[in-house]
Parts: sequence; C-alpha cells; structure tokens
Amino acid sequence: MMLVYLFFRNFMKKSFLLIILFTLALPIFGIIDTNDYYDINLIEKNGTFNFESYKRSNHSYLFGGFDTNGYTEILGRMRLNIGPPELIGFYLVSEILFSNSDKRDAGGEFEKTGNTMLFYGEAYIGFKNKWTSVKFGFQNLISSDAIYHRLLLDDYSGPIFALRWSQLLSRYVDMDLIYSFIRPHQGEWSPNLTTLYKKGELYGKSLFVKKFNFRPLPWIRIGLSDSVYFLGENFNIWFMNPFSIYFITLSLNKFYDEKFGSGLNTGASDLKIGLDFQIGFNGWRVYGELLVDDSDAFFLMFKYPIFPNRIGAVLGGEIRGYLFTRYLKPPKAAEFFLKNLYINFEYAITSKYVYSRDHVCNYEYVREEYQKAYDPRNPISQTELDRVQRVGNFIGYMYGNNADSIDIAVGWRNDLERTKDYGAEYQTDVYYDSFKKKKFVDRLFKFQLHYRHYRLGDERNIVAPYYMNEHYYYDVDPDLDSDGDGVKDNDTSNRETEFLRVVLEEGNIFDINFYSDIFRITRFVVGIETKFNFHWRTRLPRTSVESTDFVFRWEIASVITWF
Amino acid sequence: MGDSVGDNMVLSMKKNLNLFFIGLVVFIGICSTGCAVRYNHARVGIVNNYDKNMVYVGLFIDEQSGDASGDMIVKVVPPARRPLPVGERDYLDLVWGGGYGSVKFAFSFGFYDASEDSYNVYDCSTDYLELEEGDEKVFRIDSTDDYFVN
Repeated sequence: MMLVYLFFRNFMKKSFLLIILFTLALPIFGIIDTNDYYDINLIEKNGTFNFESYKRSNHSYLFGGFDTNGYTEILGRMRLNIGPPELIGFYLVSEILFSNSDKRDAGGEFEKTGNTMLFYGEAYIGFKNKWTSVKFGFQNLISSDAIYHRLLLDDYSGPIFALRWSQLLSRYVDMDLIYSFIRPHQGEWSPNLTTLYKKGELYGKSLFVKKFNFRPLPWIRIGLSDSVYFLGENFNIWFMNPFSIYFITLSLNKFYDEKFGSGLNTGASDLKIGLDFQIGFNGWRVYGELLVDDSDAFFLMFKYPIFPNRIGAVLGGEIRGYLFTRYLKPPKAAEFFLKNLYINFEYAITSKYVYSRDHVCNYEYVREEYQKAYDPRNPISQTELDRVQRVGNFIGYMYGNNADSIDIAVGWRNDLERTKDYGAEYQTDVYYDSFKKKKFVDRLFKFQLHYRHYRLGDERNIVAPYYMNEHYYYDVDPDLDSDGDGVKDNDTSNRETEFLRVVLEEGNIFDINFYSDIFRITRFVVGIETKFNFHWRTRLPRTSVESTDFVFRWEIASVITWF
Repeated sequence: MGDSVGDNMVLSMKKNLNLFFIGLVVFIGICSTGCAVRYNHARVGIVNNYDKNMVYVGLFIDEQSGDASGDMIVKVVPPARRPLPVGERDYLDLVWGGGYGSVKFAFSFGFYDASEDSYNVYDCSTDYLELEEGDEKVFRIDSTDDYFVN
C-alpha cells in the first residue's frame, strides 16, 4: 500500500509533465466512428468515456484516421450549443461536418469539391426546465439508459428528425413522447439523394413512441413503451394521440379505413412494445431493456402463436470508484486515482426475425433500406442484403437480428464524480438532477480500455418477409397448402424462437482511447484525442473453413472546446 | 435522493461485491462454453451454362426440418449475386449444427424472360442433393431442365 501511495504522490507532483509526455508519446485522437462500410456520422459509444465528451458545450475538431485496409480520412466537425440568456430555457444545437475519405465515393456535386463531402449532425431547437423538455429537429434518440446498445432506438445510426416531448407528471411518473420521421443518415448535402429514392418511389417511414416511466423510489425507474413504425411520413392523427394504445388503434383500423391515397397508412404498421429499467445511485447502477417486436393478439390472448417470438434483451451495469473510496479512505493521491476509476459491462441479444417485416409491409427497420418492393420471383442478393444490414444501419440494435454482443470497459476520467450516467434524460432524472450541486472542472483527462465480442447468426434476412422460410413459395402461389391438410389458409410456422443457433460471423474489438486538455486561452481549451482500434473478424467460425481478418485503425484529432 | 439511503445500500452492497464478480466470471464462462460448439460446412456452386442470364436461390433443408409435409422447413439461401451472367459461377456456403450428419440442398432458378422483361426464380429447380461435412459440389445448369453435378 505504501508503494502505491508513493507512486501516486509522485504521480500527482508530476502529473502535468506526464500529461504533456503522454500527448507527445501517444499520437492524438478521434471522436468520429465509422463501421466496416465507412458510414459517416455514426455516434460513437465508448461508455462513460464519451458522454458529454469535453464537459463544455461547444467543440470543434480536426480529425485524421487510417487503417490497415487502406482507409484514410480527413474530417472536420463543429458542434454549437447556443442558449441565449434573453430566452431562458430555449437553446439551439447545430452540428456540421466535412469529410474526405478515399473509401467513400462522393459522386454527384461532390466531384467538384475533390471528394470532400458535407454532412449534418444534430440540428434542433429545444426548450427545457426541470419539469418539461421539448426538442424539435434532427436529434440523437435512445430508448433506454444503456451505455452501448438499445433495442428500440439507438443513437449509433445518427440523428433522426423528431419532435420529442418529455414531461414530469409527478415525482413518481414521467412521460416521453417521440414523433419521428425516419430517413437515411443526415448524409450527402447534394442532389444525389434523388438517386437513392427515385421519383415515384419516394416514401418514408415514421416511428412514434409513447413511454411512461414509473419511479417507486427516486433511484428505481421502470419504463413501459408502446410504439408504432409505419409507412409514410405524416402526423397520423390516430397514432399521435398520446392516450391511445397502438394495438387497439390498429384493431380499429377497419372502422377508420382511410380513403385510398390519403397516405395515413394506418394499416401498414408494425407494433413494438418495450420494457426497460434502471436501478442505482452514487456510483453503481444496473439497467436493462426488453423489446417485443410485432406484438400480436395471439400472444396477448395466450393462444398458440402462429409465428416465432421476435424479442431482444439488454442487461448491463456500471460501478464507479468513488463508491468505494468514500468508505475505504485510502491516501489522498491514491483516492484521486481510485475514485475516478470505472468499470462497465453490458450484454445484448436479439432473436431471429426481429426488425424484419411482414409480407404486407414493404419496409424494414433500418435507415437506408432496400428501396424497391420485394419481388419473390427475383430475390435480393447477398451483396444487396449486406448493404441493408450493415452494422449501424438498424434503427435499433446496431448488429440487427439474430446477434449478440458483450462489452466491457475500464476507464478513468478526472471529472467522473460529476459525469452523469449515459442515459436517455427522462424528465424525472432531469428533475432530481436539478437539485444537485453543479461544478465545472477546469481540466479534463480521460483514458479507457474497451473490449467487445459480438456474434452474428444465420438467416439474418430482414428484406424478405420472414414467413418465406416456411412458405417460400407463398408469394408466387398464394394457394400453397404447405401442411397438406386441404385447407390453404391455416398454415402455421413450425419455427421456434431462436437465438444464434448457428453463428456465421464473430468478432473481437479492442480499443484504447485517450484525451487530454493541453492549454487554455480565455474560454477556449485546446486538447488532443486519440484512439487505437484492433478488430478481429472471423467468418464461418468453428467450421473447417473459418478465416480471420485483422484490421488496425488509428484515429487522431486536435480539439478546441469552449463554453 | 437522501445520502443515508445511499450509504446503507452501498454498505450492504460491499458485502455482496465478491458475489457480483463471481457472477460475472460465471456468466463469461457460460458464454465461452459456446466456443466448444462446432459446425458442419459444405460449399455448393452454380454455373450458368445456358445462353440467358439467370437468377437463383438455394433451398436448404437442415437438421431443424421435420420429414412430414407439415413439419418441413425449407430455408431460402439468398444468391451471392443477381442476375448470374452467362458462363459465370457463384458459390454458397452452407453451415449447420455439428454432429448432425447429412443435409439436403437444391437450387431453384429461372432465366431471363425477354417477353415480360422479368425473372421467376421458381421456374425450375434441381433435385435435392445430400451433403455432408466438407462436401464441395457444383451444379452446372445447361438449360431449363438439364443440369449435372460434380
């Protein structure tokens, strides 16, 4: 213990020099995350490390990245958070990026700018106080307080255009309403969008979420959500009603049958029910989320299900060092180190067919989808399928269906005690948080080691209607009687709910993250950030032909932050 | 949030901290038992020897399927690419549970119909072929009703 004490006393004395040494010895560091398809503007999820990245509301950075696959990128980003003092409670968030990468084909107008592309990030106006919060515009949305993965709505795939209203109803209940339109990533600022959606095929999707959070105690939250995903971008009056239950709304559809062409699309809808929780305070918490996709009356009535369940679950937890140092009372220097140390763990899993669609609904639960109507006589190829199902394109869990992942991270940041848990900011959290003392840190230093193991199963085809595997001929011959009993409309699935029975790909990701402030001029702080990412990907694992690829990626950025 | 509530919770939690870490190790152990699983693998190829472009899918009956008509599960395997040009070939990798012996596989395919400017992948099909671990078979499609396997 004495040795540890001496080490940390020494460390504290020379901490400034060490920080400078680190920044010189370790090349510096990035905040942009790309997946294997080089999608831009994905929201990096590095646990507590990345939450409120710099503790200052505005930042801009210049980023460089490369990997052993030949990927190179130069990127600039600016994020502004403006709250005019004359309009208390109102604020504006705006984010813009430019990028030049040889792995991304700009095309169109961006050929004239030498492949340098412009992107938007979050862009919304908001109003907030301790009782209510309203945001309108492109915003990152999440459906639970998990750190890495959420099942209904995940921010990894970037900002979604939405109206979100969070309202405290009492200290025991709050309400969260989200009315969103789903479009591809806030991508190319160019006429190229017309090549994504040809004229006459233009259509969008909407996702409306109603959620109520119940708190028997301030540190226990249980959330219930009812959501509907439907064809068309409109404020469907039946679905906007915050007091409706979507299952009943859809059941009433035959009575409220829309006039052809009115575009409300009440019938082309997909229901999802969610349950999530968070328990914890003062440096520890556990959390989880459960999603039931396409809840069906057969389940509610406890009748024999005609299709497999489509479900997903997340379970995780976090422990912070100050939970222990308050009681262990170590030497002061050691306490400074230990209290700012954290560890988190999360496991997520989804069953086969989650996020896939019914045969009557021509859409998938992704940002950029297969744009044409699915033709069973000329089925989609694996190449096209890989584009639709790429990591991060899903609106929910980033790996899609029939997949799982484990995340573990250990990290240190000097402002940990004042760093909020990564969460969805439900209004009761905002309310209780408003009573806590606020203290801003002058300097920021962050370091994290993160490991992820993920697996992808078989039959992850969300473009083909999920019944096709039992009745693959159905679309071509609706009179098919697959069970041969002479009755053509009573065929049921003999599939059962499945989780990764056969694994076709698995991967291991290990990354080292580092950030440090360097110097400050008035309200502007210059910092440096870097990330080393190691990714092993195994195709057809545990077969006689398994093969593993390895990619190393390095990211570095110089950062300017200000209040 | 009252601190006293928090303190009590933390004190009682300290006693169970070892239990948490033991649980974590056990959980990881359970997950890693999946590493012992082995899968069987076979590779099937298809060659378009006809004079028109072709679309195809694989029809895969593995150990999950029953034998009776009502219990049958036919898994549709997406094509590697579409359409498959004249004279070219594709491969599909098939994976199923280790230790389950043989499975059945067939191709369903169709050629370009110029009169309707369309394809129908269910126009023609091969017979089901029995495959075992490590097999590599190639279906050479010569016409709508003529093919051979080697």
